[in-house]
Amino acid sequence: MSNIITLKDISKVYRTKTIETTALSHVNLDVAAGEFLSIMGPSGCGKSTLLNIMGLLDTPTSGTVEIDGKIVTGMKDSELSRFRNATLGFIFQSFHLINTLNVIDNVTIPLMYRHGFKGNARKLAMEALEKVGLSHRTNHMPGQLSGGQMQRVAIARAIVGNPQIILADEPCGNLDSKMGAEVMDILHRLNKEDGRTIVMVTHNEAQAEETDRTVHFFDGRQVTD
Amino acid sequence: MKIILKNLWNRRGRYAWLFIELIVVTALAWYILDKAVVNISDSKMPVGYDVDRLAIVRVNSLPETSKKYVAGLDSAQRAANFETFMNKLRHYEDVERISPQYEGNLLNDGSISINKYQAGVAGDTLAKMQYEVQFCGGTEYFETYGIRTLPGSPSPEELSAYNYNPGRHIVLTEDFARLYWPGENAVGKSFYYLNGEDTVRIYVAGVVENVRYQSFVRTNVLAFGTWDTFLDKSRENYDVLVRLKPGIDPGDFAPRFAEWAAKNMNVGNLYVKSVTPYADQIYEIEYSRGIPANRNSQLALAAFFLINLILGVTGSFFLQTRRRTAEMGVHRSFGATRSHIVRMLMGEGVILATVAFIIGDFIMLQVLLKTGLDNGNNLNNMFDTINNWVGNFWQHFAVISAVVYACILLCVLIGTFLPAWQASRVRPVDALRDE
Repeated sequence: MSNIITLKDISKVYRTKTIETTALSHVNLDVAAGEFLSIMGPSGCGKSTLLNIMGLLDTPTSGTVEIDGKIVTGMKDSELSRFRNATLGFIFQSFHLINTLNVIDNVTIPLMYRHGFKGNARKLAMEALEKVGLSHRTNHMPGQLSGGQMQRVAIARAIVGNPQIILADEPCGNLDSKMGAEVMDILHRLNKEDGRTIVMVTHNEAQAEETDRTVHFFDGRQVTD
Repeated sequence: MKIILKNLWNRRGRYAWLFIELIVVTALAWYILDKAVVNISDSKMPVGYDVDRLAIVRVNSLPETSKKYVAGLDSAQRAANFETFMNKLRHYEDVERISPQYEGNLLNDGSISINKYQAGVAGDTLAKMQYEVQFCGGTEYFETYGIRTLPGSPSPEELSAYNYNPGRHIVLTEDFARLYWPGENAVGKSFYYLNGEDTVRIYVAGVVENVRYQSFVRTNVLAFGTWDTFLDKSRENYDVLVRLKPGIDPGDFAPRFAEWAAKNMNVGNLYVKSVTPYADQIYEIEYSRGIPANRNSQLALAAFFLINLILGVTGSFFLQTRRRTAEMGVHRSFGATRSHIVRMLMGEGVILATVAFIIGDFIMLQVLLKTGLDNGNNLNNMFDTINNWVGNFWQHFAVISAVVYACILLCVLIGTFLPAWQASRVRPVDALRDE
């Protein structure tokens, strides 16, 4: 299977006037198309930084990022935004739903910025919500949902634009075990039934074992594959 | 747009103060900007004649106590001296043409009379009071001033050379003619002086484009009546209107001619008392009435008001956008560019300002329907004024509403740009850390 994400010699260094912190050091990582990859490691090991770089939310200090055959390091900000919109979907630990918009408006956000989009955004959003089992809550505000429901809305938002890659940063981190299991179930269905590539950062060994492959990080370096 | 409206609606509690502020500002802006705009509009209205290349030469007679005074001149001698004097002036190298008038009878600084007229149209009993300025026939008055005539009217040269019968012939301005004969050519038509005999009719010799009697007033409708068919040349005080040749600056002409005139223009008892560029005379009169100071204070008040509005809006929007950094990060992570973020935040400001303006403007309309609008400067509010937007309630309301909206919109755009630009510059990864 071909690689959909290729990280070559990625380093990320944070510099202030007096301190230099290396978050990632010479990381090389490939993710195959359709793979469900989990990334594990202790707090501060650089796994979220790695996910942010993969998701084009942050730029590496050195190295190249290749996604779906395109080298994205060096792209202009507007090009990155467009590429991110078309290719990637995000699921955050804190859900990051917009509190002033209802469920269906939150889900349509990626379609607002889809270049050349002329389709029916509401229809696609409803389909995404049906996949996560929340089509009956379209007019609810985030404040009226449970943590598990909010995360399911976030998943719907991540997939509404039909991205090939989903990046999930501790998607079950703020959920209890029952809700966490529901969310993992959805992610596995997206991976197995839709063939989406999923990269997930997690602290949970049990959840990591359910994925295709687990990569371990320590102090900014990959220690196992 | 839908997301902007939803954002505004769902944040209505947080934006309430800013919204109310913008409504109040709309109402206050009306009072401040109405007066300022009307005053500026009045001052920018064309005066109706060409002030460029125009100067005033004031001619006086030597006092009897003067060593050079020539005593015992009869009227014929004084008339001959007048002709010699005016020929010298007329043939001075910088001069294109002249129009001598009795002292104190030039536009902007002279005598002006009030007369009541009644149209001679059958069945019309409506009397109107109008202002009338006086001039002398045969003095190239209209062409020296550069006053233009309307199609269907004799030319300025023909009007100046017209054989006027004082009190029986009159030249009307455009708006005056329209009052009595709307849509018709008024030349040759007649009306009465209201306090005169009904059989004594005044005939319209010509119609000229609107002329403003004073530069800083919107001016009431004018007529031009004649003192005399021909100028009395035996007097010894005149104000001579001088049209200079193209390329001659009145400011350069005045001192140069004054110096030359002191040596070369003493004819009989006539001498040049002063030479003033026409624009300077206009300015001096405005200055003596406090017009520039009044105008500047209105503009300063308007500027102060608008600057404070910008600062207030900027502060409010800075506070609002700082709380929404994470939200901006979400938008950016799903494909919004910096430009999207700026447009979204500024769009909220524009919609807020527009809705607040509509409400504030509606409130002001109710107030103004009862109290009226600023009427600008007029010689006398009882008289008809030159027909323009200021005097028409709905046109006036529309113009000032547009100015108020433009100012508020500009302030909001300036006030929201910086916070929006800053919010767009935050990296998505940093924005998402902001919980």
